[in-house]
Order: sequence, then structure tokens, then C-alpha cells
Amino acid sequence: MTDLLCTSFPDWEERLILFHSGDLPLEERETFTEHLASCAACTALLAEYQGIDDLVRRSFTPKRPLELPQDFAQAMESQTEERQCVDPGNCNQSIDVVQEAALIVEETQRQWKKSVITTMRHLETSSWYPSVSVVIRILHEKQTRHLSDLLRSVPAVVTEIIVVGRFLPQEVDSLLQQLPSNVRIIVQTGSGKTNALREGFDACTGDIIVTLDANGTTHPGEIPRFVDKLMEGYHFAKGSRFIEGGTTNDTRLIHRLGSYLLSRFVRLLFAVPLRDACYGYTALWKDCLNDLELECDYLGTGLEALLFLRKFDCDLRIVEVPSVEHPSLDGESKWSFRYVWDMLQVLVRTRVAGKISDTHQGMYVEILPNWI
Amino acid sequence: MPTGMSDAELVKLARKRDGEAFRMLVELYNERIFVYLSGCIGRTEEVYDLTQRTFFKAWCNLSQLHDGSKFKSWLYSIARNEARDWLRNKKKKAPIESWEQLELQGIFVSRPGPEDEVTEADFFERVLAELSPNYRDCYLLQMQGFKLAEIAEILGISTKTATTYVCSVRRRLGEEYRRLQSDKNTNAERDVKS
Repeated sequence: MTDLLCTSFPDWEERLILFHSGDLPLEERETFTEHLASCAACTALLAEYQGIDDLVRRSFTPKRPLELPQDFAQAMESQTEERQCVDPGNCNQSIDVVQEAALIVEETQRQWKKSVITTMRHLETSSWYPSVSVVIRILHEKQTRHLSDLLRSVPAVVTEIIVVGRFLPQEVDSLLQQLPSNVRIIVQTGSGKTNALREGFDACTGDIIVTLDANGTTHPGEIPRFVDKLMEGYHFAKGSRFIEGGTTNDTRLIHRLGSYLLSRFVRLLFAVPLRDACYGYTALWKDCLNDLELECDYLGTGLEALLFLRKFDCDLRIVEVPSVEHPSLDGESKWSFRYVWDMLQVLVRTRVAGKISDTHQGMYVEILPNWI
Repeated sequence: MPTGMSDAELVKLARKRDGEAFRMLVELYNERIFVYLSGCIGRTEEVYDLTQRTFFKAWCNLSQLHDGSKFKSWLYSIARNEARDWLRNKKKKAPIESWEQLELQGIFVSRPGPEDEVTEADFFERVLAELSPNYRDCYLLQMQGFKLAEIAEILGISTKTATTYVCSVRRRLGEEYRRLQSDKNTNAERDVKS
């Protein structure tokens, strides 16, 4: 359409766009209008702009009439009725009432809530107790040595234990012989902690999923606390060492300090009321997994923090539960300069890329001040 | 309700819980918002919901809009946020669907004859989906009659940047469209020969 070039202006395309959008100053507009009469290139390009705009507009025009939502119409009707009986001077209060009603309607539209509401109703009318699945990720062979000790502390409320790791076939057989019958071994097909958790979550059949660390730092005896909080109506319970009732028995000051500072950093970076970003003790309703898209590209580094933030992003109701961190059974720690550096990189990259939205800032979160 | 009232006047009335005034605003902008959202997320059934949600949110938050004359920009900002949230949640760009899928869904009513129109719609959807969000927003807003300064304000960028973005998108759309037309002509010639 326009293989021609305009030689009158060096920035003729920009000028044409300004002219097209009406942004060109009046005096320049007149000059440019005169120029258009004699310039084939500009005329053709302008026609192309208009032609394409028309085509785009026509392509995206609705093919059926747009209707107002039912809820909106109801809100409109209710406010109109209200208007007839309320003192006109009291408008602001009425607007607030309508707005509040509208927000409630919007809130109840959220699909994720339905499942939990159903569960809560069920809980109110019966003595039903949810089935609980525990997911433990095994990083290396050494951690399997302590697995029996760890599983001995698992309370009776747990119905299923999923152990995920990159096992060899003979290791699977050996583990199945050593471990209780309610333990299922999942051989990880991918790599990284995110992938392990995803595969573990997929294998879970329980109503509630709890994640534990294989090195014994997260004590299974605390699971009922988490389950109780979920049964109170929360979607996600996150263990925290830095709130009242929680603590860490990690004797290395550098680890404690690093963990605390990283948590503060996350809090600052994402503006969420998060006390403990680097702790993997979590519990959530399995239904809520649909709202949570774990991303494999993080490969585990900083996952605890991102998992938590992602839940903020999904608008889930979250509670921080005090938890006591125990010394690692294998004497090893994930903490290293490399770990901290990777985590910082992931967090900053996530913030810059906007992978976690700002919408979480007004979301509900409750920090339990005192558990015991 | 007298017709021909300005946005500011309608907003003023709507803020006083005048449902009819807001309904007029909806009627004035709903198609434009629909076009904008379709450009952002693609021609899916969700666009109808997002359009409704945009007006619903506008109604709920009308008290926060202090300058009624800025209603249009404000409304598009809401629509833009809705589109971004939708894209973010769905973790995908604007969908590109096949002709068969579109027919099965019954979203678009086929008119007798102008099949080219659907091809062009697919084409524009694809080109827009390939653009980065700011570029796409700039173009779609300019197409909706916004001045570049207004676009810059909505998107939080400079006017110069907005101009560059629009220029770039228009150039690309033009090139791609010319290529489409050229392919079509070649195919038509081949059909005639065969």
C-alpha cells in the first residue's frame, strides 16, 4: 500500500500518527493538511491507518448484544429503590451500602471459594474430618536414612504419606520394605523442588496436603495445628518461626539471621505481611491447588517464598501458624551463599517481571499472635 | 434523562446513585470496551464477562473518581487491569483459535460470502497477541480515539514513548497486512490458473 516515502519531513511517520490521533498542534496541523494534499506517501499511509483501524474494529465488534450482569442490575435496582425512600442528603452512606453489597457479590463469585464453603458447611453439620496427605521430598539418599524416624512422629490424623525423590528401582523396593504401609513412593521424573512438589501434589488423594522437610526440621507432630486452622476456614496455613509461639533450634546464628533477613526482604519487596519466607512447613486444601500454578522455572530456589506469594496472588485466605524448627537430622543445611544469592535473584526477577501481581496488597491475612 | 449530556455530567448524576445515568455511560462505552478487551485478550467468550466486570467495578468505585471528565481514561484503566489480570491468571497470551473451533463455539456468526472477514479477524488477533502488552495497549487505545498524552497517562509512560510504540505497531500491522493481502492474491491467481 505504501512503498512510497515522504521526503518533506524526516519524522513523517510520527507526524502522521500525531495528525491521525489529533495530537499535532493546530499550526502544524494546518501545514500538514496542506502537505497531505500533495504527498502520495502520506495520503496512502493515512488511508492505511484508517483502513486497518476499521478492520480491527470490525473484527472485534461483539456479535451479540452486551448485557449488564445480573448482579449489577440487582444492585442498580436496589439502589434505585433505596433512593426513593432514603433522605437524599444521606447519599454517601447509601452508596457505601450498594458498593459493599456489590463487593460481596463479586467475592462470592470466586470459584475457588465454593469448594471450601461447601467443605465448611459440611463441617458444620457433621463430625467429618478431612483426610490428610503429607508430601516429603527427598533430595538425596542420606535423607532416606532418617525417614523412618521422621515418620514415627506422624500423628494419626495423617491418612497418606507421599515420598517424592529421584529414586532408583532398587531404592524404591528397599524403602517400601522399611516404611509403613500408608507411604507411597513417587519417583520424580523431572528435577528441582517445584517439580517434586508438583508430582507429589498430583499423587495426593487427601483433602488437605501438608509439606514436610525430609531432614526433620519440620516436626510432624505440629500437623494437627495446621489442619485445625484449615478447618476454621483458611485456605492455606504457613508455618512461621518468627511469630510468637514459633522458634528455631538451628544453632547457627548465620542461618537464623539469614532466614530472618530474607523474610524481611520479601516483605519489603512484595509488601505482604509475611514473617517467614524461607520455611517449608505448609498446609493447604487440595482444591486450592487449582488456583495455584507452580512454575518449574524456579527449580526450587526460593520456592517457599514464591509458593506463599503465589497464594496471595490467588486471593486465598492465609494464616501463619507458629512452628518450631528442629535441628537437621542429617546435619546438613540448605543455607549457603549460593542459596541466598539464587533466592535473591529469583525474588528480584519475580518482582521485576511482575509475575506476582500487586493485587495481593489488600488481601486478607491473619498472623496468629499467640498460639499457645 | 436528556440525551447529549457529557461524561462529566453523567458521572456526576451516577455518583448520586442515578442508575439511568450510569446505564447511559454503559451504553456509550460498552462496545468500545468490548473491542479494546477483545484486542487485549483475543476473541473469546470471556470478553463478555470482562466487559461486564469492567462496568461493575466502575460502578462500585465511582465514588473514587473525583474528576468526571476523566471517566473515559479511568474506565479504560479498569478494563486494562481486568485484561492483565485475566492474562496473568490464565498464563497465556491472547488465544489463537482455529476456524473450526470458532465455528463450533458459535462465537462468530458467519455471514454469507465474506469469509475473508473472519480471516482478517484471525489475522489481527494473531498479530496483536504477538505484541507486548504496552505496545498493544498503546495501539488499541489510540484506535479508540485517545490522544497520545492520554494514553501516556493511562499507561504511565511518556508521550514520546507512546508515540514510538504506536508508530511501531502501525508499521508492523501495515507490513503484516500487506503480506496477507499479497498471499491472498497469489492464492487467488493460483486458483484461477488451476
